[in-house]
Amino acid sequence: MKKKIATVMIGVLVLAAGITACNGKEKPTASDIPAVSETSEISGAAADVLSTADCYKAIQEKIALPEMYLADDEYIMNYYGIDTAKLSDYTFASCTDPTRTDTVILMELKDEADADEIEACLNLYLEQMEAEMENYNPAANELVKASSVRRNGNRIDLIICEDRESALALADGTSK
Amino acid sequence: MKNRWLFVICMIAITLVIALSALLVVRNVKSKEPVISTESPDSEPRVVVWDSQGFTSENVSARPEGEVVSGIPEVSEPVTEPVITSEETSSESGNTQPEEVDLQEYFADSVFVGDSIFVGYRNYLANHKGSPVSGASFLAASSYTSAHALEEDDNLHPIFQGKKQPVWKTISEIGAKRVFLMFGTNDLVVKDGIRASGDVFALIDKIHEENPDVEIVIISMVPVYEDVSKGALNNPTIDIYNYYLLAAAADHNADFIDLNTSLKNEKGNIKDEYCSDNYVHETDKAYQEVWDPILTAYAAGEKKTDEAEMNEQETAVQE
Repeated sequence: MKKKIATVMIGVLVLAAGITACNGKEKPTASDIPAVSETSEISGAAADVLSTADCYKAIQEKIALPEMYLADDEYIMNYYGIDTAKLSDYTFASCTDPTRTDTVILMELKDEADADEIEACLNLYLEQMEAEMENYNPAANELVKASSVRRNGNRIDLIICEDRESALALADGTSK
Repeated sequence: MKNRWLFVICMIAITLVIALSALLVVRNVKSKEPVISTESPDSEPRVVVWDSQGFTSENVSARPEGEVVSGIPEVSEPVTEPVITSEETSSESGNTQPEEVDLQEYFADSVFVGDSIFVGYRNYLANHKGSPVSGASFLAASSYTSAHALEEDDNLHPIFQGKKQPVWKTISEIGAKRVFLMFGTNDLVVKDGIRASGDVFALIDKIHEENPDVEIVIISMVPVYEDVSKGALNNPTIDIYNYYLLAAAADHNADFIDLNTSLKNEKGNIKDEYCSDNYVHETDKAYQEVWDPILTAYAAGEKKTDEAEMNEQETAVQE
């Protein structure tokens, strides 16, 4: 009788152990792997680089920006001349106040071959800002003159604001 | 007896083990459930049509081309929330009202040409997609004057889709059906009202020369903050400038919309709540309470005029 009871207990214990083990860490299946979104983190060796949305959020938290708005695809095409279909990740933010020039543009290109064209669009935008602000708001014009389009592989950014250097460091997006 | 107690203890142990396993299973299953955000999703912006008492579309109904749109009453009790004309809004019913779609289409075919006042409106609309006007295109630049706009080669010409060129060329390329024009803020700093209005009409004529079928609508210059006086830029001169624009609009085949009256206080200056910088630029409140309603009412009246004309033509054909 004792042997029977012991056998039953061992069996139950083994069963219980098996059940709990199976419901612990399961191997990831295809459905568990998150789909790569346009704003997801860069994969591969740069897995620690943040999305443009996260970089912009970090800039907003650390840098004193005026009220900003986020441009949609149509706006980006109309007023920056950039086709967002060429971008895998992007954030275009600009100040609502027409007398200021604060701008945060962060982009990741799908194809680095488009970089020249897109850089030219942003340089044209910079020239326009300088022309508009030259006599209108000299202080804002100084910020524009201190800015430039920055390129790093397939990442391009343009930041116009006070404390631009800090904003650029945040735009690099490497996590700590 | 002893065996019986042993048996009972075993059964209890088994039960506990099974219960513990079940708990572990349930906890792991729950961890895979999607996280339901406690934040409510952003509601769809509602497209509304201004319809406050005393300011109905009848005020701007069928009229001869070039006639001034006048008699627009001041907003006596500014509404802080958009007025919804129907209980069934586009967000509730899922269907956009036909009139709202017409207004969106109307402004999608329209271009706004002007200076930083229009840049401010463009930025406001970028943040307020619920406005029917938000589909319009803007050819606007800070510091821009009608004199700049008249030049074939000027470094202030607004960029549109990657091109910097005279506005009449961009209007032609994008196939705009109508142009809303507002200049004066920068013009009056360097010129008097007569010469500044002359530049506006020269620009209208140039746009018509390149785009014969395009409709032109002059929007009055808006008031400035009290005590602003820079060159000829002050409220009394603005009123005179607007009069010149109003008086000659019909001669240049253009309509005229008065925004100035609804923006200013009893002293003739822009209302405090409508001015963003104690100078010339405007707040979102001004755009929401005055600009959007007046422009959409004008558009609604235009749609009625077009429909009335089409009906007349059909009747004439039938006869």
